Amino acid sequence: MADDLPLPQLRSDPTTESFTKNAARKRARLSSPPVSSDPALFSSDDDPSADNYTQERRKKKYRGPWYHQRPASDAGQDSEDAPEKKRRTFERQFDSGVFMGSDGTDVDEVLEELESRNASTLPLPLSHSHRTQAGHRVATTEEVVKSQIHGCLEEGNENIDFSSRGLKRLSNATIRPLATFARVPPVIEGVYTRLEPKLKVFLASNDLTSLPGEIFKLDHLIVLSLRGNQFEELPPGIGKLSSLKELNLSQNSLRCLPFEILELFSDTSRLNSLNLHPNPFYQPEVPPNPEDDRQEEESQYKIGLGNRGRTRPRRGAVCGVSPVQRRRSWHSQWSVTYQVRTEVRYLDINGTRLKGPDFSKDTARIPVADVNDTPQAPTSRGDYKSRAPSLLEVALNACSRTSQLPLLPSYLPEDSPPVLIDLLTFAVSKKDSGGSKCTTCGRNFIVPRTEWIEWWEIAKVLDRNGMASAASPLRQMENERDVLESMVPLMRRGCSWLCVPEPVTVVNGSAAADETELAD
Amino acid sequence: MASSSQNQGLSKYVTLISLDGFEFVVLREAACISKAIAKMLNTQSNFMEAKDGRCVFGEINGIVLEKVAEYFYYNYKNRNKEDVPDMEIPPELCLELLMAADYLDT
Ligand SMILES: [Zn+2]
Repeated sequence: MADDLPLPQLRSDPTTESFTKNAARKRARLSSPPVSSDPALFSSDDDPSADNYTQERRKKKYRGPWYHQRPASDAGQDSEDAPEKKRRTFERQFDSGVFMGSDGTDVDEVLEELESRNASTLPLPLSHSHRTQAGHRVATTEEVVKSQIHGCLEEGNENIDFSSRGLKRLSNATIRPLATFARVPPVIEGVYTRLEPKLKVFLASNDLTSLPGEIFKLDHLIVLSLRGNQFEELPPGIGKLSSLKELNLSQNSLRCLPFEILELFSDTSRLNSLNLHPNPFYQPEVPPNPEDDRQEEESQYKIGLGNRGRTRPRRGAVCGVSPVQRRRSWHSQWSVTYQVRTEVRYLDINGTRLKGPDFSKDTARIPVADVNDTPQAPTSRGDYKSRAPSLLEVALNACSRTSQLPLLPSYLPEDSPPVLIDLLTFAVSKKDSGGSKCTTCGRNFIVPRTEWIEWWEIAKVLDRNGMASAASPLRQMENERDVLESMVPLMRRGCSWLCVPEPVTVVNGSAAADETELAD
Repeated sequence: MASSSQNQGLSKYVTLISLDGFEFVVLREAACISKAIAKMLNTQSNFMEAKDGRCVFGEINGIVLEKVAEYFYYNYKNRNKEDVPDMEIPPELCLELLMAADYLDT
């Protein structure tokens, strides 16, 4: 049935995602579907029925820096104001088993409804009602989500919409059932057709800071929207979503992306639409080079769509071709080129910084390393360097493998150093989000020993004559800001002090540009 | 062993002693990957350990210290190697070993 229905277009158009336009502020609202077992549709922006909902919430005020731009009502999901509460509505699609609250539906209301109407079919674990106030709200929100997933699975609805639910976290247990999703095959007598499900998961306008690792195991996930959350980093697992066609990361607090995201641009990937901005991404700070001043001025005029010389920063010794770039084959739809990197941060066995640049939140710009930079480890332990993990890492890995990992901090003696609790807590979150592998040697690790940021240009190839930045595939790149936005910061982490950037092939500026052009 | 290298002042080997009295003789160079042991064995210091090359760990039991000694060997053996195999740790030891690793700064 889902096939017969014209699904509203997903809004991947960057003009509607831009935070400067009100349209982007509209959340995916539920239109009023006919009372039948049709899947719930996302309202498109021109769906008139969406206007019947909560008109007040359209007027949204923006305060503070642009990268914190979220509608006040989004952030304040929990802080209720009484008059609004009265207008809240709650609807249940009786035949679908899916609970759909309107934008601001009080979670407790939903839960009450849930318990009173459906206690027999959807029993809620008792334990959740004994939580503390804060824990209670999170848990119950997730319970609602869980039951919605259950409903989607039951009716074969591939659109999993948890937009604007005030979600602070999503557990692996909640997401796991989605892996069993099977598309309801059309009934053709005698013929069993198995269709690949096309899962679309919308988590826009929540308060998420991390993702459960299970989400990266959804082989059939083709759309993932994380727009308008609180992400400062994304788990490396995002690179495993090889079926992904659309990924929306806009309006988060992302300072960099995991290096693994490059997997999404490999020749076997299907990614077609990527929304990265706005996010407070780290910017490369290129040292001024007087000799390049003249050239710099020229490039100010030259930059623009179709200008092949364009987006490469001209100043400083920044032209190099990363071995990674040479080794990989990229999708013809994307132009992916290494630009510059920071110096290497060296971390101690427990993750404290010993040497290298500061990646703190207050830093907007990070100096780039010289193109000839050779990473130098701080004074080594003992007389030799080794790729072997530290004993702390070996033990932490063993802890992480046990099923009792979350309980381990409580087994520590009371006078244990606090760092052990921090490490175990870190291991828990690492495990929950799917773990991480060294971006140099591929070994699993928990505590990184090296970190550096590489800026890559990720541009969508429009046609033979021109390309546009991933930030805005349809907009001309007209000024330096746009150019810098095409410098996507990717965080690389290594598992040992020997896992550092490989030397790049040094070429001068124009040669580097020529080389990439040839590669195109 | 200790007597044979008295001329150089230092033995190539050191002895690690657990709280329950088990002794493990390990290569000094390998054991010094631990910052705590390196500090104990520093000849500039006046620690007893530096003189006789014997380190007593009042908080680490024999089973855990055996794993620690095994780790020193594992780390030493794999120095300069590109592919380092994983070291197996029995789950029941993981937490004690974590505490020992933090204590030894290894
Ligand atoms: Zn590595």
